Amino acid sequence: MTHWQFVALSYALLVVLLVMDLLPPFLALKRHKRQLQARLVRERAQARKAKLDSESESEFENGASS
Amino acid sequence: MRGSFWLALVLTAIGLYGGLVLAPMDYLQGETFRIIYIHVPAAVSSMSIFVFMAVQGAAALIWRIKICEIFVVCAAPIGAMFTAVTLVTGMLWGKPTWGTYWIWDARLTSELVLLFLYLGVIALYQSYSDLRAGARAASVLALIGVINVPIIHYSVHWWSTLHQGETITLTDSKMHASMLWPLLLMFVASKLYFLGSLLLRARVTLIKQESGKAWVRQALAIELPTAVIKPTPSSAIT
Repeated sequence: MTHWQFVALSYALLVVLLVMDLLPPFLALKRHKRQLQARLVRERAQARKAKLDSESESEFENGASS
Repeated sequence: MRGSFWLALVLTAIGLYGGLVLAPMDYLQGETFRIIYIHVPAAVSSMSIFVFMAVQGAAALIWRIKICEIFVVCAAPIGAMFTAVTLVTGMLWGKPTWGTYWIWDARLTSELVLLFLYLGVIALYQSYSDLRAGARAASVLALIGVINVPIIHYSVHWWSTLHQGETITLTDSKMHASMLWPLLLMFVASKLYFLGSLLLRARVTLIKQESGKAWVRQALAIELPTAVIKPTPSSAIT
């Protein structure tokens, strides 16, 4: 191997190790955020639906009493 | 976090251009000396990260600060990566310079021990089901293992080693300025990379550990798209 080949191999291995270091936490962050945001959206939708249900129930009761 | 990554990238690009293109060839080592632009910053980072872990570990054990525990466990994989880079690039530098990839020299062996210590910290943390207990155990190992750092640093003085002594100290440098400035840029870039990677890992760990807490949900709610976060008028639904 020539000197430049040793240099090139060193830099190539550095890139591989950096990607191995950076990629898993980056993907994990994306996954966790997506999961949590999906849960948050689901919970909000459920809360909104529950609120609407209670509102329509009270409207129905008001209508029935009048 | 992103800022430190971008700054590290810019500094690395400038440093590599200076080291690989502008710096002259070394009259003894030839072109292989250019490996030092990754080997030396990685070696310094491998030791400084372990010291950082020991300091954070001490703070975590004494004051029970949760973020310090997280920093200990998040810094370990980054330190292991830097140590692996140090060992691999050192081997690739050693072959054309010394005629061998590996020798059981005090500096090389103590650096290999450092890699095992990093792996030990990671394995110890992973072996606990209680994450906080695992982080405290990892902190204890970081505190014990930090004794290896001065051994690595002074190994070239204490023993007759194949590895040369320091070329650069805080007050003096034996390198020519044309070779030195890219190395200094690479030092700064490696520190910024560590900072960015540490914050990224800490963020992942915090979200994982604290996902049920209100502040995480609040922080994520801010990041939600406005179309989702905006309350829909009840008339539009009905």
